[in-house]
Amino acid sequence: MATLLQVLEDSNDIFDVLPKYQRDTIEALLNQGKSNEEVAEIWLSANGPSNTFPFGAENKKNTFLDKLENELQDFICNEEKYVEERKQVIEKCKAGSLVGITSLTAFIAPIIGTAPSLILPVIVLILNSALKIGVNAWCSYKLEEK
Amino acid sequence: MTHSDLSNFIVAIARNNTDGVQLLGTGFVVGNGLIATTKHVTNGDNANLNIIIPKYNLIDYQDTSDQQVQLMPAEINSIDPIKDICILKINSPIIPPYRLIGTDNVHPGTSVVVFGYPHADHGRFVLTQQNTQIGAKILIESFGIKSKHIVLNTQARPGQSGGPIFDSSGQNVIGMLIGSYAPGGGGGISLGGVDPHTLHQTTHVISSEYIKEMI
Repeated sequence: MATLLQVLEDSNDIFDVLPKYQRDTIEALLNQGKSNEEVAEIWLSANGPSNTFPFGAENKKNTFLDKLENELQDFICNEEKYVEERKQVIEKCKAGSLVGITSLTAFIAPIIGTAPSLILPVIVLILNSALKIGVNAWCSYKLEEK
Repeated sequence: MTHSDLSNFIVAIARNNTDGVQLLGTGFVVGNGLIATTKHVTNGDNANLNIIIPKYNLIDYQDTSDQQVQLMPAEINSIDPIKDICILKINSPIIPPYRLIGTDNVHPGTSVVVFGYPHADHGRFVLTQQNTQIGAKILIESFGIKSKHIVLNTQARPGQSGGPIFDSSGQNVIGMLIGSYAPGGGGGISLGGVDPHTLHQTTHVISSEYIKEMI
């Protein structure tokens, strides 16, 4: 059976799945010479402009990039986990790769306790890294990192 | 539209958990069933996220001992952590009677009206109006990306994040309150839960043009 990344390899540009306001920002950060991973970390840790104290009633920061990467790695590389969900996402990818990414994001978001809209750019950035080096190489690299 | 009428379109953002309702900040209607607030108010977390339906009109006496609130579930629809904007979706056909015009055509000295829930971090639930002026138009950087802001010549407090800034006509929203100037983002010192770096009249507001791009 084709893997998720093999299906996504046929996509022209997975960044098309992002709404324009997110795509513009992600591209601006990448154009600064930052890597996909650096931009992903910035996106998740950012909490507004510099030199500004946020006036929310509780001010927390997100620190779940590792958790997100682990879940995504399990989804892509671990044949024994998320079997049914992977099948569904791959089928959706075959119908339209961007729908598949949205579906994958909607599945992972509640597992790590966040909104799909927040992690969509991060998932696209991680997938983009994986697509660049190939599924087997990416899975091996991530396994070594653990 | 009077300022008291506008209060029907301004909500508190809250999380409903086992300890009760925790106020998070302010929000306002920006589209059909869409509420704008800041990213840091929600922290990108949908869990038990709600809006509190406005109970009092601004001209009423708001009973500070009234603990009964009506919640409506909300879900994050769009989010931008770099600009600190979050759009929530609620199941209601409410439409705003004002426009989002941004900060390009306003100038320092212009009178503006601010709404929000100051001191929500202490559980205080009082919709408050402040009349002030624009002190400056500034660009603020976040990870190398600059965005348009204005400085308000007034002091704001936790809970006001996500509050709308109207021009004096009440027909246009020019921005959304996000916090106050603090070197390095503040948070280094706390006296009784208050960072002294935030006790001044330099309040930061992001242009509503960025909200418009997200709805």
